[in-house]
Amino acid sequence: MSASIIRPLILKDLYLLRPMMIGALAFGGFGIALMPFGETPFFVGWILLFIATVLLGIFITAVGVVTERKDRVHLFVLTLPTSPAQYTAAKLAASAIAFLVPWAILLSTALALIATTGIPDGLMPFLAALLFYALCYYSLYLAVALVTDSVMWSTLVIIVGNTIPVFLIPALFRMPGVSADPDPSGPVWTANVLTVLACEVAFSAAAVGFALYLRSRQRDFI
Amino acid sequence: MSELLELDGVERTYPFFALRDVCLRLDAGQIMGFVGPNGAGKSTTIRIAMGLISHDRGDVRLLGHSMPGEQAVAKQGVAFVSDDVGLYSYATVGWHLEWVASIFPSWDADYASALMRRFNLHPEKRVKGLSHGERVKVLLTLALARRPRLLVLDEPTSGLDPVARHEVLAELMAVLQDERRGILFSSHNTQDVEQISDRIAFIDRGRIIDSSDKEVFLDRWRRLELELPDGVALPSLPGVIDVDATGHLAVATVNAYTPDIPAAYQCAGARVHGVQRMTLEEIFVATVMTSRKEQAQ
Repeated sequence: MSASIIRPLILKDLYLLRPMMIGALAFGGFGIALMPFGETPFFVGWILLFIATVLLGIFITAVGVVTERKDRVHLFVLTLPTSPAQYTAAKLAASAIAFLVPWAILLSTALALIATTGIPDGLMPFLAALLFYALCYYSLYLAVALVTDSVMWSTLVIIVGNTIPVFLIPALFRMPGVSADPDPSGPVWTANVLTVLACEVAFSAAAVGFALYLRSRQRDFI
Repeated sequence: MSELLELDGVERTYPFFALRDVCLRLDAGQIMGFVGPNGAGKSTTIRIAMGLISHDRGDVRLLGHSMPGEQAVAKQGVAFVSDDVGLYSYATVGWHLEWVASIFPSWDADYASALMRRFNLHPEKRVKGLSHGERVKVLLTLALARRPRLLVLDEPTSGLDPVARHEVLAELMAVLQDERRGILFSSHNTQDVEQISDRIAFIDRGRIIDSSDKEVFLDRWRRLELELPDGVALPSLPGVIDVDATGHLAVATVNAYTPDIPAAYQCAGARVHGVQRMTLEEIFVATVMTSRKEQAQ
């Protein structure tokens, strides 16, 4: 019973989060569909794709964690035969599935499209780094939501998360390997690009790991 | 008699509130009314019992399991309803029922349907559109249809209209037809508690100030109406906790009534005009005020 409670908790969250997953796939998919039709459609397309993944992370956390706590539904769930650790594990698993599945589908579809059409291959690392940034943003927002119900912290994460791309996007375009040249002279997946991707993954893992550590030290769960 | 819940010397300290040496015991077949003013520590105690809040000291055993460590197992046989527990607002009542049913092998679908009819609830209705009373009834349906051994209710009738309150209390009474079950019922509404409880515990400012069978409570508390002729002074008697005198009239509040008390007043020259039983609310207020007076001394 104890272990099996995690499954219905995950399925419940996925059921409740499915409109956001479908919405992100539709919105992001529309962005990807625009990409092969020239420079401007590509520009609009990757922006839509990026917005879709960022919004997915925000909505999943807002609906799955923040609103559940604000509406006192977590109290109902915690009265079921579950421990706070199981509740957190299920919440994290469901949230990760709800984000990572559409995110991975969108990312792989976009990269496959670039690789198989006339879009310059040098834009693949740019798009990958950008979508991995959306992963960082989601992880940080989820981490903050898991450990605190402070509106101030959540708002701060959203402000910072929305500001960083203003600096990140030009920086990514200047990275070796990133190029709009249809016939790039060198490899596109350079060491710099891979380092950026690795840093983004490490940051995401660290944010969630730190949140789980803090959560495990909390004495009260309501 | 099997023990459903036991709190022994439970303490929890917050910056502006402390739960001190809370001892409670609830056996199968009992309904315990847990009564206290707002902020007395009822919800904190109940949440410690449910493993939602950890305690600093003491032992908590729920259905024989140590809390909060074994809460996942213990809560298989416990249902909790509180007026501040929320449900998923965009999901339907029916979805909640199906989801909870998928978790509990003990789920009684026929009973759930019967409760839905009795409470006039519609499975296709979204939680968002429910009134407060309907939401409490959904929570109660979700709790009762699990057939829990222990039902923990934290202010469940708060904010309900009289009809809804009657329906909810009637359903709770029906639960106790199965003597293996028990209910812990917290409220500051003493009428509800008096109606359904067979044991009572009073809590105030984080301490259990009295706990006993309801009938014992009601039997031992009396209010005596006295007339004091000139020159008569009332003797100090054991069990008399308060005497409120105005001119020639006095009212004595007794928490350990025996027929010897009016006899002693008569011997002292007072006339006893009446010996009245007290309602649970009057007993509760008198107990709280006496406790606060003792703490202040």
